[in-house]
Amino acid sequence: MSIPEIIEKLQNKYGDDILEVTEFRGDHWVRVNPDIHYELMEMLFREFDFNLLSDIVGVDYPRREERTEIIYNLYSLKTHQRIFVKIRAGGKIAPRSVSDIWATADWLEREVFDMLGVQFTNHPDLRRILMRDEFPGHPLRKDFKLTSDEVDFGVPIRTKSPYGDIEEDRLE
Amino acid sequence: MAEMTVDTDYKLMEINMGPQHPATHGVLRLKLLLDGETVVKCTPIIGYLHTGIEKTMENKTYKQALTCTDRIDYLGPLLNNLAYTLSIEKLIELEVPEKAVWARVILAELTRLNSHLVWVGTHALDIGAMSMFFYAFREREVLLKLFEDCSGQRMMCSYITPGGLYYELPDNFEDAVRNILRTFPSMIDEYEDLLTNNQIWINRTKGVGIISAEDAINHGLTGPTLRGSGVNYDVRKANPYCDYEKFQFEVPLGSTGDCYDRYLCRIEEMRQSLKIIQQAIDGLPEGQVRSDNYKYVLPPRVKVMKGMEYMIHEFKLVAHGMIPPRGEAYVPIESGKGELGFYIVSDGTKKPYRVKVRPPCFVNLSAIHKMVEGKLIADVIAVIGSIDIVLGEIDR
Repeated sequence: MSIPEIIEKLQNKYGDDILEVTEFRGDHWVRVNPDIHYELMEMLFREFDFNLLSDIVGVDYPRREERTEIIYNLYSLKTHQRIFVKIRAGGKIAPRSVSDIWATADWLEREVFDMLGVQFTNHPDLRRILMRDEFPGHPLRKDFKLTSDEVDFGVPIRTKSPYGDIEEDRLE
Repeated sequence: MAEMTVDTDYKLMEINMGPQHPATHGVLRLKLLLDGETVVKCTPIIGYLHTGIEKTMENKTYKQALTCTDRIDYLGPLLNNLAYTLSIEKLIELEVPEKAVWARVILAELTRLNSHLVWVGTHALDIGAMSMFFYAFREREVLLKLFEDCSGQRMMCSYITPGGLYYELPDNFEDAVRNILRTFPSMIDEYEDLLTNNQIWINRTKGVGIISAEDAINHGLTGPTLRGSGVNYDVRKANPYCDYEKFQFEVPLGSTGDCYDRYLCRIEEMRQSLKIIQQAIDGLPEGQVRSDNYKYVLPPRVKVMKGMEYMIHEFKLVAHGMIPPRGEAYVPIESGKGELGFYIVSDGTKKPYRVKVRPPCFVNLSAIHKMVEGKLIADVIAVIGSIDIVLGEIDR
């Protein structure tokens, strides 16, 4: 079954909880409601054989209320297809951990928690993984400065995009 | 005769293996709970080498960030360059000349050889076969010399860039590669003579660190560590990139998933790499090694000195950097350790909004407790060696 067909099945089942479907350069993204994402991922695992959780990516968008976008990178070793499932979390929303479906998620979710400060519910051992336990803040958030002192060169380094207006997401 | 009493009131002992331990391949710390010599619980503690590479890359232009990728898995720099480059090329739909693609295949396979040589050397050294280390590093020197001829750097090459290769291939490239193809098969035989039927080696690795295929998939293992358990997943076959579908090669598979199978897989993989290099060097096309889409790729120096347009392109690229369109892209490749990829989020500016490395070693290491719990403490060393970790990539 091809990825668009799978997405169509998901849309039939979950309706409005599928918030956004994107295709870009041949890859497919499905953005879903964080309330149902565990159920949906379990369905992808059991019915559509996405048995390898390749990666979990967290991206910080500080202007949004749910500031972290989490992207699950799922791969099927049977059909050799890849699908990306996106949710928006952070703030008040703590998504449910998928570590009981894929054991890989244990460390990957810990990394997202460590770097971006997203809480996962039902996680067996949610601790920092790369930073030390007492480290203040979450390094991959955009408002975490790379250096403590910003150097002022007197010229604006901000660039405008030739591809139209950028969302005012990047804090400078 | 005094009556013997058995003391049953003993406690489990907790010890730290590492971070300063020569057999942990860097600064890996394992917290081991021991019952005598048996490991009851194994908890890896990582992060001692964390340098915030992903954060650094967000604060550099796309071209500058390429240099960070070398430092992630420092035993396979060209493979990291390749993964990062392919993601960017997918983002901007950049065509690459055929010669560059084939040269990339040769360089990627040479890097895989390099990575496996360091693995076989250090893995055997950990278990006590010291001479292997010297043999492996002797051969690695030849590879590093070739990388130096190509890029000017032995380890941090940054040679594969968006659009092709950074420089033209060196004049002695073909000779050097053919020389490697001539000498390496007998070298690999030599390693096998030393290890494959060596009774001490078999005792230390056979039946040690077993992980079943199901567990291996569930824990997200990739690369030779997964194939040792008999799961046929090689990104080069499953989702070919860089024209890998045009090359004939086998994917070696293990059956039991122990250290010995993983060892055999990697050794066979080295032979298959040589096979791929042979085909690629025989069919290496003529032409240029860099795309002429000067919106993204630096124009050649000769053109810059003669044409105003090229001068403008160069100025824009050097002073400002390339600007991919908005979007997200991920291209997995088969690195020496497993599936490696860079998830790049572009917001349409000159710097990547987010770069996430899909780290094969990080994920492979997370399954170590499955392989060592209930086994002897000496087996932990064999398992660490056999999953081939590089702490630079785990901690990033």
